[in-house]
Amino acid sequence: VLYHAEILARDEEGVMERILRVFRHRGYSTRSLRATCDQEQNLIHIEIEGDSERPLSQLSLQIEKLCAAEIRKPGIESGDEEASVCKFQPRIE
Amino acid sequence: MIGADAIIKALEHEGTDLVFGYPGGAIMPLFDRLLDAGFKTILVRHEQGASLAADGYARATGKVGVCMATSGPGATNLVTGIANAALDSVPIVCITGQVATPMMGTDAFQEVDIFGMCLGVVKHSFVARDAHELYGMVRRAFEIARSGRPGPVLIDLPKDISIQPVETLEAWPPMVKRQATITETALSRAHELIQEAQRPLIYVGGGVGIAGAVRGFRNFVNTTRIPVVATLKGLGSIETEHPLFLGMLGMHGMKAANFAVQNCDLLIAVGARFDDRATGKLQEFAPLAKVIHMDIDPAEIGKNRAPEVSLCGALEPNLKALTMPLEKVEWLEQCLVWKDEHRWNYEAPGEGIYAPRFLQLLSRLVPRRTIVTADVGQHQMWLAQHFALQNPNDHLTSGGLGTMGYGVPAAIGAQLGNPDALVICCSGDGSIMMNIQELATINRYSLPVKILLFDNQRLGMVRQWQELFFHERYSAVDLSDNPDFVALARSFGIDGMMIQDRMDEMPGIDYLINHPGPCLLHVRIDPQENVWPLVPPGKSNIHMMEGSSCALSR
Repeated sequence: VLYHAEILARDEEGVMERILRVFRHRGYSTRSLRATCDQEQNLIHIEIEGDSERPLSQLSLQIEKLCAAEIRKPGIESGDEEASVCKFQPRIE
Repeated sequence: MIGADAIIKALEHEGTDLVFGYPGGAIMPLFDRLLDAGFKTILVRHEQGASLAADGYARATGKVGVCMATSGPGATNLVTGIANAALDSVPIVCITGQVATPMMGTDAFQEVDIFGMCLGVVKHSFVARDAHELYGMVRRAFEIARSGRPGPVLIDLPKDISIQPVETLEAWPPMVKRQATITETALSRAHELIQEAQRPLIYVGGGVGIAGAVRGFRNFVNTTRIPVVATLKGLGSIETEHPLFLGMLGMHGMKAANFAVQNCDLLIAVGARFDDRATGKLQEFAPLAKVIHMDIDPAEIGKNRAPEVSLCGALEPNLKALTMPLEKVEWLEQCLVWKDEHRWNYEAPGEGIYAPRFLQLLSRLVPRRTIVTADVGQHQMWLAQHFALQNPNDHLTSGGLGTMGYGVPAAIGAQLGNPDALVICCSGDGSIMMNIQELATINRYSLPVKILLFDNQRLGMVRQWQELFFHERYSAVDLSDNPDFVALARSFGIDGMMIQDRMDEMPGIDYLINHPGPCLLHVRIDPQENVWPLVPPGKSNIHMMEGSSCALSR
C-alpha cells in the first residue's frame, strides 16, 4: 500500500535519522523524502512517500513514541487503498 | 564549576546512589569529579558489565540505573546492555565520553558515532553541545528513562563540553506527559466481556512489575478468581504457588498454561506484548478468545493481536475498575485439572544432579528476600519453570534480547541495590564466560553474590535445537575444554565448590545459601538433558514436544 506521511517535529539533533530509522526498521520503504526547516519555530516538516504491507496506524504509533513527549499525532487519515496519509505534529505547549 | 560538575549535581539531585563505569581518555574529566560526588562509583572490568549491572540495579530497586564509559570502544561495549534495557523496558541512563567537539567527524582516536549507533536501542539520546545544558539534560534523561514505558537514555558528552565552565544550573521545563484517554465506554465494554466470558484467562507480562502494580494485580486475580498464565518477565506477578497460577506460557511453558490459552474465550493481557516466545504461531494463539489488552504503551496495542477492547494507560486504575467477584467455577476446575495432570515430575533416573529438581529444592529453602538473576540458555528456562517466585522484581532475566552474560553483572547491580538480600546468579558454562571478568568486581566490593553454575560442557540450548531441528548435526556447541571453574573463582578470590552426584544436592544448596561472602557452586549435569516441554519454532503452542529424557512433566 502506498503511503504519504507528513511529520512535523521539533528540529532536534538526530530527529531525521530517528524518523527514517523507524520507517525502515518497521517495514515501511521510503521512495521519496522532502524536508524543510522552520528555524524561527525550531520545527522541521517532513514528507515521506513509500509503500508497505503493514498498516500505517502501527507506524504512527511508533513515530509518536519517538523521544517520548516531543511529537504528537493529531489524527490519521487512512483507509485509501492507493494512498494513506498520516500527519504528526510536535507537542507545542 | 565545569560541565562535569553540572552532571554530578544533576545525578545527586536525582538521588543517585551509585554509578557503574570504566574510565578512559574522553570521559576523564567526569571521572575526576566522581571522586567528590555524593554517591559511589563502581568500577567494573568491562563496559558491558557496567550497562548490565545498571540494568540489574534498576530492576531490583525500581530506581534508574546509571553507567558511564569513555568514547569509542568504551561506548560500543555499553551497547549490548543498552539494547538489553531497551528490549526489557528498564530505566537506565548511560553517559559516554566523546572526542572534543572540533574533532568530531574527523575519525579521531577513539571516536565513534555512538549517538547514531544507538538510535535503534535507546528510548532517547542526546549529544551535549553546551555545558550549560548538561544539568537539565541529565535530569531530562532520568525523566524520560522512568516515565511511561521505561527505557534507556544515552548522553554523549564531548570532552571539551565536560570541561567547559558553567555558571548556573538550570533545569529544563517539565516534560509534558501524554495523558492516556481511556473512555468509560472501553471500561464498560471490558466489564461486559469479563462478565459474559465463560472461560476467561489472565495473561500477565513484565508490565505489572515495572509499573509497581503487583498489589492491584493480585487483588484483581483474587477477587475475580480468573486463572493466570505469565510470560517469562511476568513471573512472580502472582506467587508461583498461588492456586490460580497455571504457569509460564509459550515455547517452554507449562502444558496447563498453554492448554488454557488455547481454550479460553477471553484473554485479558495485562502488561504483556504478545511476544513470539509467548504466542508461538501468532495466528493460532488463543484462537477462541476475545482480547482485552491493558498496557502503558499505545504502540503495543494491536501490534501483534488486535484486541476487542484496549485499555492504554496505567495498569493500576484499570485493574481496579475491573475488579469484581465472579463465578466461573467450571472453567476454573478444568484449568486446575490440567494443572494437576501436567504438574512437574522431579523423579529423574540416575545418580546425577537433575537441574529442575535442584532449582525447585533451592527455591523452597532460600530466605523470602531472595533475588535470582539468570543468564541465557537452558538454565534460564529451568529457573523460570522450577524456581518458585514471590515477586516479579526478584527475578532478573534477559527476556527480550536474550543476553548471554547478563547474570553476573545483573547480580552485582541487584546486590548493591539490596545489600541485605540473598542474590543468586543462575548461570551456565557458556554464559558465565561472557562476563567472567566481573568476578573481580564481586571480589573488589566484597559482594556476597552466590553463583550457581550448571555445567553441561555444551551450549545446551543450541545443542538441544541442533538435536531436534538440525538432524543432530552439532556445530560449535562443544565446551568440553571449559576451565576449572572452582579454580577460576578462587583465582578471583571467590570460594568455590563442585558437585555432580545427587547425594551432594543438599550440601550444595546449604553451601550456596549459607556460605559467608561470595561463592560459586559448580554443578555438573548431564550434557544430553533438554528443556521440556518445547513448542517448535513456527508452531502453535498446542504442539508441545516432550522428549525421552527425564525432564518430563507428567
